Amino acid sequence: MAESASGDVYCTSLTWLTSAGAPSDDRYTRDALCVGHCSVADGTDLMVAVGALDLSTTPVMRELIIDRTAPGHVLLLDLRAVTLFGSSALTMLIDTQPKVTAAGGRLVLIADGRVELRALRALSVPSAFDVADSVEAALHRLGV
Amino acid sequence: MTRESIIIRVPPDAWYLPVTRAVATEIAAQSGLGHDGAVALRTVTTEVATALCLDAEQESTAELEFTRSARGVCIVGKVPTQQTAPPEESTPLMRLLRQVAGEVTAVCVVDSAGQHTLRLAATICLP
Repeated sequence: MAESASGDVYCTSLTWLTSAGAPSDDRYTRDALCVGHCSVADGTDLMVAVGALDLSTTPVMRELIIDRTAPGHVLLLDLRAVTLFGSSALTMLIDTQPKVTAAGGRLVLIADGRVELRALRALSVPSAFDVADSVEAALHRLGV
Repeated sequence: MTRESIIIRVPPDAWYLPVTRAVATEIAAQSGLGHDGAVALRTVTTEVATALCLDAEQESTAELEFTRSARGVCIVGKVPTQQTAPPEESTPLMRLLRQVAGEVTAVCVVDSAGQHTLRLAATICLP
């Protein structure tokens, strides 16, 4: 079992989907968005975002979410290692959530109240999303 | 602490957002903002720069001025624009800015030649 950038142990490995590869401690590249992906249960995938979600990186995130949406499929989007969660990320999630639902999928956000929840609260939108504070809590809620 | 300003000029392109954040990170460290203040300054810098990117005229230059004072750090962003009004208060960008920064002002000013400039200012106060 491997430990994620967020600190949880939940899968054997993450496949890094973005061109930046795995996250780096290099101060000049740690802002780069790295997105890892793995399956955590039958019909349930986990996507971990590490780095900054801003105007330059949210198009990539949107594309990855849409690409991994399928009918009856749940996508857990772990935002706890996001270093910056801007309004572009909010707009992207608000736009993408209905598309996932329309495609028969379900998007659950994993957020623990630091950077990302403050931004969600700015729009009073946490209730518009499924939000859990850990992968385990999300899986428990889903009955997995 | 004396007032001290740093001005950076970049193309109004999202590609340069990490550059503006790198500057914000250094200024936060030198200003004693602490961890939460640094996160706030990075967020506000990104949002101000994002607004400049979204509203800029083609081939213009965006300017970000960081001013440190005893109160905290003020960021003023300016860019030539064809818009006649600043971003609406109801936009996610303005709502996030208002939640994170202590003071926010957004105006579109027009000079004698008829050139509009978006001016967006926000302050992160010292703890």
